[in-house]
Amino acid sequence: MIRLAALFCGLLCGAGLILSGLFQPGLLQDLLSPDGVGDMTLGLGLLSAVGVAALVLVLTRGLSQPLLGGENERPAAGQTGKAVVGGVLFGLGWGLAGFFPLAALAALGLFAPGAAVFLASVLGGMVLHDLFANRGRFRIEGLRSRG
Amino acid sequence: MGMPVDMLQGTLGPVVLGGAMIGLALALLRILTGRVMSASGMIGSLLGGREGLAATSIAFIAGMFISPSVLVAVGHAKQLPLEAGWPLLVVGGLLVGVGARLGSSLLGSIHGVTQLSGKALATILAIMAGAGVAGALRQILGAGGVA
Repeated sequence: MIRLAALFCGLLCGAGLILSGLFQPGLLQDLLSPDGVGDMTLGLGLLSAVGVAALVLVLTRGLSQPLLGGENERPAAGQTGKAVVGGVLFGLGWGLAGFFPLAALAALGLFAPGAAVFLASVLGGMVLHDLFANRGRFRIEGLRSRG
Repeated sequence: MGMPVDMLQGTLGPVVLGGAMIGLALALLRILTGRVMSASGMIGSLLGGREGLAATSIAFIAGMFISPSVLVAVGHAKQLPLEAGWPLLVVGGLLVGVGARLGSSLLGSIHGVTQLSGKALATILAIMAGAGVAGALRQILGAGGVA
């Protein structure tokens, strides 16, 4: 049942990304475009998402645990400094590639080849991070195996 | 490709609606399964972590993957993303992967903001700063790729 709910949420999120066009890599460039009229599409879509999510979560804040069982996933541990460094890296990558990960997942459903390249690289980045963070002694091998 | 204002108005409805669907998916996933709808959570948990998380992640990702096909099946016009060149996708993906592993991602931070987390707000600002730098870099390098 939990998996069915997750499948439905994925479907809903993907449909939202596709319907709104928010998965389009060009939108971030448009928002940041220096030539005057920055396109607010992305900002508006994200604001709409924040608003609805906040509304529903506030209305249901009495729930102490998930309706289908289990427990609430905790926010990533760590200090704000680390999160800010991560945020800058994430933003740099997003700005360069145009995709954020969930947008690329929706684009993958359109069989967009670049989305597959991007997602494979995201997984690669996660693996690289783990090699550096948890097992420093594998650092050299990690770099070698990526050529 | 900064959209002229009249074109933006033409897409306003779908953008707000799609954003709302994304926000609803985020909130429902949290209420029903306790999971955080983010790259760190949904993609990161595929690389190991707490028992049972990968199964919900895979179900969610499957939902995202089939969502464009479902939309096309009900008559939505298929629109492919305008993707950056592969070098940008690879470099950007790696950066995004490391950033997500440090606990920072776009939708994860949006989730955090709905919980009034100052750390999440700082992360979003860091993401936008990183994206701004990346945008400037792409202008300087002339590395278009995205039409």
